[in-house]
Amino acid sequence: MADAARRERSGKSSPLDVLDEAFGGVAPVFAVYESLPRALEAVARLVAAVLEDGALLRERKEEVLLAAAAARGNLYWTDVHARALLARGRSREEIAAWARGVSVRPGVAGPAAMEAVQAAGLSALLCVLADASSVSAEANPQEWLREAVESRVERETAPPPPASDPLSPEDFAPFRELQASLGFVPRVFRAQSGSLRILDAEIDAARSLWLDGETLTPIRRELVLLAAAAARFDLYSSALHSERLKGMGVPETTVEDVVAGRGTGDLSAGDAALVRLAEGLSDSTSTERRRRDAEALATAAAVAFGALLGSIAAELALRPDFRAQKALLEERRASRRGEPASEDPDAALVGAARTGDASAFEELLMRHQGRVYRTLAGLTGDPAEAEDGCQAVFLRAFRGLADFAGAARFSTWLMRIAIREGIDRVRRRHPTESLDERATDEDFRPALVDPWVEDPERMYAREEMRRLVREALGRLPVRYRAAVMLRDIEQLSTAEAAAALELPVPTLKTRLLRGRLLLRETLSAHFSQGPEDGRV
Amino acid sequence: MFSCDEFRRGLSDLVDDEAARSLRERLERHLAECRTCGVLYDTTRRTIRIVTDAGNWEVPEDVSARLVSKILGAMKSRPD
Repeated sequence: MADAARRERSGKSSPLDVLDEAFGGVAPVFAVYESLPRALEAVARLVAAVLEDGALLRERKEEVLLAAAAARGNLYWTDVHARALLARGRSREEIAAWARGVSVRPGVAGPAAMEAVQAAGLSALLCVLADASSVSAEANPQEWLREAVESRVERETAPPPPASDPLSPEDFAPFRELQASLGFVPRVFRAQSGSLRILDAEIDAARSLWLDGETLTPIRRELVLLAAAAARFDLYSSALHSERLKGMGVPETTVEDVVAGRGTGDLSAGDAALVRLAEGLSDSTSTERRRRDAEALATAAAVAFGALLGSIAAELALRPDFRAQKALLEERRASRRGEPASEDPDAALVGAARTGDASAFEELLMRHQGRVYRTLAGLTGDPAEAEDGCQAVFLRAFRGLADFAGAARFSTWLMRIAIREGIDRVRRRHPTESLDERATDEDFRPALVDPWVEDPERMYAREEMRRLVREALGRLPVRYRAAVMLRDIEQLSTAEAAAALELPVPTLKTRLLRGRLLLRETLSAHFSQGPEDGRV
Repeated sequence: MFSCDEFRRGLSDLVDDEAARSLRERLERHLAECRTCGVLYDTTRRTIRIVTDAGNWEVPEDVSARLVSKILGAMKSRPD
């Protein structure tokens, strides 16, 4: 029945058309997956099934999708759903409240609650697809929405909806198929027996993205699914994919190493690279997402489906089908906390300083005072303030050293303290200096786009050039100034600068771009050749 | 075809070499065809170079010495 119904429903339109229509034009997310036609078709069908008016109306589902995307910090999808809700006449205030949201599905009960759980699961899938196709990093929502996402609070976990009686494989053909290929029907599917239409589309997606997905070998597919599940500390899915791998003859020790994140020593180089990619797709702090080859796309598709299952299992508070690997995941969590510190060039000194070794702290002070002082001088524009601030920052760091958990590098942690200190000082002196941004992209449309003289550095002596740059920086709103200083002057990586400013990477990028464009504008006034020479 | 607004949004990623390949290709295609964005790209890169050069100065000796002695002094005056 499924095939006929599917053809009927999608008619002649391609999956991309269906998806485009469902979301009002989001082709870039999905277009990269065109080399995986079956996966794309299954996703389109799942999207159509989830979005259809059911026990929960489309509009309410759109709210769930928005809240779930915002909860993951995914600006791209939050923006897409916000536009859809605006088009349906919802106010910005309502939408911002959802994005800031307390619960993904407040006050929804019965079958409607199950559909909300499924919509949140779909959101997890869509977010992974977007992250892997790089549109997430390029998202550029309106400022009010970005602010809402950034100021979001921990969501309350709604109680799982009441379970309906599970269907047996005899009564429901898709369950028979699962039984045939897996040997059993996982609890995560059985638990959705009360919401069959979406479940049917989900199992169809399970076939295309997971069970007989394209490109990857079955073992690789399970391996990347396991790595992704472990990286998001998903007890349910880790147990499921571990069991599958063991059933395929992969040694238990290899499986356990992947779950605990002990490294990929037992795997071939190709497997190891895909495992790292899958882990990156489950971890918002990772940047291991750049690959665009067929295997990487198939990995993203599998991981996206795994995220859907994981989200549903978590929302329904399901026990794993197999032995839960709590200890292995705890090991992973512990080693993850320690991991960045072990690559931290300051780790040994920090360790010594914590035991009270004053000379170790002095060494840390010597290493980092330049960066801290320059940052404070740049933020406040005042050498005396910078000196006082620098002292305050190092004293605070010294006192806080016992609490420094090593989750970030010492230098990032220190810069975070420095930025807070600098911004506090700016605010105290200029109470009107706001950190909110109401600016739109249009405000940053360049006014001066004439070519520059051949060698601008020659036009001014070094001291004059410094003064020029200092003044130009001083004119920037402090939020843009901070981004430019960390990235272009202190030359932190994008991820480090975002961490030091306690911002999501996309926000850091927006602020950095705006800062750079404003600086360019100021410098253009000095270095422009003038319109006559430049124009053709 | 990519608009100039879209190009500008991807400008930082292009300058920092952080654009995914598909995006980079689109940005570069736009660059080849749009003179204004070409100038924008060139002058933004130079802006960053100038800011990096001029902004990354050494803390003056006397300031540095004063800072170290003040901070270490303040640390010692605190009972651990």
